[in-house]
Amino acid sequence: MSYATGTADTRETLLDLFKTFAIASGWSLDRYELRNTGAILDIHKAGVTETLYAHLRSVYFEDLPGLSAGDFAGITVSMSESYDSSKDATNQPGAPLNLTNASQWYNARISGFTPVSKYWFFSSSSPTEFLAMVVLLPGGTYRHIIIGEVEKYDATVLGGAFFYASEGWAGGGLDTLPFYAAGFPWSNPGASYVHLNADERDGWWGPGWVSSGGELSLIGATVSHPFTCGALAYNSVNQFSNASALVQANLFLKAQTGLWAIFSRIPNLRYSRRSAFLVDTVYPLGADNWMAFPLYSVNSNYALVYKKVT
Amino acid sequence: MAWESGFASDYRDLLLRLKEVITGSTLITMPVVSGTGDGVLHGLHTTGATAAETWTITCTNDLVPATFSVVGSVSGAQASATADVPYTYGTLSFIITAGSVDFEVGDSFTFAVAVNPLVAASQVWSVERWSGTGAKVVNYLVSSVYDGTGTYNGEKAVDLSTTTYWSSQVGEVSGAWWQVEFDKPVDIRKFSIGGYTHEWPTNTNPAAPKDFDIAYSDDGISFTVDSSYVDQITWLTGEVREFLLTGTGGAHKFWRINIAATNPGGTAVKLYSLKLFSQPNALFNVAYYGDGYDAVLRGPGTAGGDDIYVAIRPDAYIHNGPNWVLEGSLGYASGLDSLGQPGYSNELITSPQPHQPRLPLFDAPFKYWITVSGRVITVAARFQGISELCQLGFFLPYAMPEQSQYPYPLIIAGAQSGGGNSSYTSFNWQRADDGHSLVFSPRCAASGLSGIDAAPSPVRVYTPYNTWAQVANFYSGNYNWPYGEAKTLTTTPYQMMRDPEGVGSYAAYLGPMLNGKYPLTAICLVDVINDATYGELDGLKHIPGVHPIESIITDDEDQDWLVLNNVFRVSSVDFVAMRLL
Repeated sequence: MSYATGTADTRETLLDLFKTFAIASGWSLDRYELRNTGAILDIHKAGVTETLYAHLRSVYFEDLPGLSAGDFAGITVSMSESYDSSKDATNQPGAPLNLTNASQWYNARISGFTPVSKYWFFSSSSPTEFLAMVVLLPGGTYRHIIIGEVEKYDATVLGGAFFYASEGWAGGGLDTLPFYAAGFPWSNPGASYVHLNADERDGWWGPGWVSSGGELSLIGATVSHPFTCGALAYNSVNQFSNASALVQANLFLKAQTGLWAIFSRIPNLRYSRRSAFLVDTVYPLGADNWMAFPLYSVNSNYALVYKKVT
Repeated sequence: MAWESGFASDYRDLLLRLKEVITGSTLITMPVVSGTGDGVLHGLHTTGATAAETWTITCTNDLVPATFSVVGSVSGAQASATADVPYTYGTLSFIITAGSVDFEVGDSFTFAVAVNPLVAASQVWSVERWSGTGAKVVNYLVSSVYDGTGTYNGEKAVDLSTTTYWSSQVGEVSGAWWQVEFDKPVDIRKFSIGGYTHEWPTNTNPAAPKDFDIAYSDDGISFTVDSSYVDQITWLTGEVREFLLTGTGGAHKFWRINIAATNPGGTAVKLYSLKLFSQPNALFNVAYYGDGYDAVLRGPGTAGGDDIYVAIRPDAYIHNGPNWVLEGSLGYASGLDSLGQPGYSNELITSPQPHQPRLPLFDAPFKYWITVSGRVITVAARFQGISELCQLGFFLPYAMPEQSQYPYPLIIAGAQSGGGNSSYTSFNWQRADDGHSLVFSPRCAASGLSGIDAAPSPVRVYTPYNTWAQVANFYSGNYNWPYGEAKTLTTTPYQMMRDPEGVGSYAAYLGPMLNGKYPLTAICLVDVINDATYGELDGLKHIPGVHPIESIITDDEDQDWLVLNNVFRVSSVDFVAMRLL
């Protein structure tokens, strides 16, 4: 399955539906169970250069491993280097929140209360794995979760598992594009991660949360953040065409030379201007079909545009 | 769809070759040189679709002038070629110019000719207009000059200035003459003279010619009168009088205006705003521009459904460097010159010189690259350590063609502009100022001035709003790509070039990929006035970092790109990649 849509009464129902969709898309189920205030979903699939282990956990004001404060209701998302059935979703082996220098900031999530007015699921295995959900919450705001493997331009860069959710812990806005360095050279932390072994550094790389990050976890190291730069060349939808370019989300990392090196893009995803699109509408472009959703609210500047593979 | 590289003999020869390439003639490859001599094989032309083969030109006698065997892999051995003598075999022609190091026996040039893929792709351009002889002005001679300082010399009669003129010395009235020499024969069928504007108090022009004729010569000594004019009196301020030639005329290298008498009261002859035209309805003043090839070219698009009009005119004004004047239009009218075609960018009338984009070139053999599809022509050149580049045709619009959202995304991009009252009044490759910059970083720079007269950009686009606009991202010396900040000038919205990935703002930080390759990022046309992104350039991309100029890189899709720098600039944001189709 590569596309599904519907409604869900609860977060747990949403995760259950997402589990079914992921399995239908070729992902293997490691675990799905109700736990404490929510549900836990662990899945994996072989990527091009590494196995992708993804973990989603719904929660209702509950303390989770690695997260110190139970101040949040929603779904957390994480990825790891392997799967351990004895651990919760947030502290799987090699997950960002399970690193020795981890902080609660190393967390991607979507917050919100149920019911989910509508969801859209997308998946594809070409050119690399891509698994995503978009949800419309009461009040008319949108949330995104994306799991997959980046599409690399540079084969010398190893790894490639990445995940993104609309929000990071540190309370940045909800309008944060994946890997977007809005406040160059770093943006809201915690919303995007990519697992890389590149430039003699191995670990999870994030878009520039500046802290005293350790060597293994490259998150927080000021010299090593991957990011995308300004998402669009200019501000608006073209008046003359009522169209906006679909801009690919390229990822750069800051090499030890001090210069930025492009190495990949997010597959099957584009940035564009929200006002150019209607939600829940399929836009054919050449041989491909695309669907656009506001990054957060219907007034967001940006939209995330998903390739709808049928 | 097609590309080639080689050595052009000069800026006019390059236009001749461009015409051949875009109309489907056999393509050539850059001659591979082997041996000792440092001469150059240039002016290589193939007209029509000759057979694909490899040609080897080998020195067989190194006594000056050296002689060469000419052998085709299909055609076999042909007549020998001699250095510095034009060589022709069938549709193939070239010339070998000796260098500072003599050729030795065995020195060779090897090049291939191949079928032009434009033909099979039905993307051959048509030549709507091709006139002129390609002649340039050699000099202006006069019978005498007023004060010998150069202020009133013969060039001043034709320099397009509204305030300068040629004046004979006081006392020379009858028998004064003004003369232009071209390097090739030119026919003159009309000329015009302006009324001198500064005579006081009568507001008429006693120094204007009253009785005069126009004559031609092929040797500069023996002249034949073509047409005569008498009783041209009462010249008013600013008046321009046109005179048709009624004689047999024909093409000649020398043209001279002989003055028999001035108007009453004149103590010397003064010629102001003199223009010579090769046709009665021509716009080009050949006394200024020379009789360059006036080319209007039509591109069919990739599917044959477009009519893309661009124009090129070599400017051979003696005090400019050799350059091409570039223009675009919305249609074609056979009776009009290239700069005056329907819907042209409407800048020709701005005096004293038009504002059109220009491509500075060279008047001796230089290396060139041409790429062409049915939509766009890109020409690059290298000489004297600098890179030049122009692009004419459609860019890639961010709009849906089937809905005619942007039906005519035309870009006319050179490397210099100026004219008018701008800071830039001459055009040549030696200029190392802000106003000399390539299409991926077009600039205008003139502190304290505004509007098109201040500092026209060398890049024009036809907007989706059916207007012409200039493109620049450099103004008043404060901004440089990729930090360009477009400025709203008084008459024309300026836009800027950026890349749609948004990398542009940070391009100075970009380095190579970890695998050593460099990313190529698109160059985007952004309209800051209307808050729109028009599209991106076709076949040109920005490449960050400093690179060997003329190097060829291959992208991940096995597409080759030629790396050039921005004229004379060599910093990490000054390189561009030109797709070799």
